[in-house]
Amino acid sequence: MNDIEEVLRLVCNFLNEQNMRYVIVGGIAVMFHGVPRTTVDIDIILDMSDAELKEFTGFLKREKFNVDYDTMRELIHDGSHSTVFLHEGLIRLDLQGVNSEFDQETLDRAIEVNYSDCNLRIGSVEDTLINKLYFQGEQDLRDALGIYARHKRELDEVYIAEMCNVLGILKSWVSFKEKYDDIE
Amino acid sequence: MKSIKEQVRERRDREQVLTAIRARALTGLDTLRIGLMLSNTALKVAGDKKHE
Repeated sequence: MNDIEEVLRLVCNFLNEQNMRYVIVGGIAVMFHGVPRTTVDIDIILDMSDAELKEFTGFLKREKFNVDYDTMRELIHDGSHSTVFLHEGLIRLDLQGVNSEFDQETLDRAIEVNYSDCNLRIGSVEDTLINKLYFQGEQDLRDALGIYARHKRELDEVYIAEMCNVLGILKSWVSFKEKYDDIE
Repeated sequence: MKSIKEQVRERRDREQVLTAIRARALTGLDTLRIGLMLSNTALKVAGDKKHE
């Protein structure tokens, strides 16, 4: 399998069927809310018990992902990411648990969209923007700019300011807004 | 005088804003579809290279 759309649907269909809580963030969420670009990874925040994680890991193994339950459990409990490659290819899943108030909000405020007969739970426009502002890389900031310019008129700026304050990036948000204030 | 790096960054930012404004005419599902198609094309090229 060398098709990111197919992998996205495969994973989300499983999570939906098992009623597992998750939200897709990162590049896939940027495609939905901002300017589309390429990505080879699917970033997912998971809110799972150990039993659910075991079930999910078993599913990924059956589908030829290079994954190991103990390693994944440890990484997710440690608050870091678990990167899981599909077979020998480039497509990968970047999985993380709920490690912060922001992760919890991202999960709770997720939107559900139906894409090619598959329900996808995607981070809200505000949370996707905050996520990109938080990471501050060149690509992240360009993604944030795309989201901001596309949705400027309808963003919940009160929520964004509050969450940026929690994350310690309120100054970055204020200067970002000032810099791109002239966008109509 | 701005460095070439800075000039390139500013130009890319301007292009990003213009593209985002055009994307207002599309739905999220439209742009998700475009992004996934672009990604699959890139993956296909990478896969073809590997098998050359």
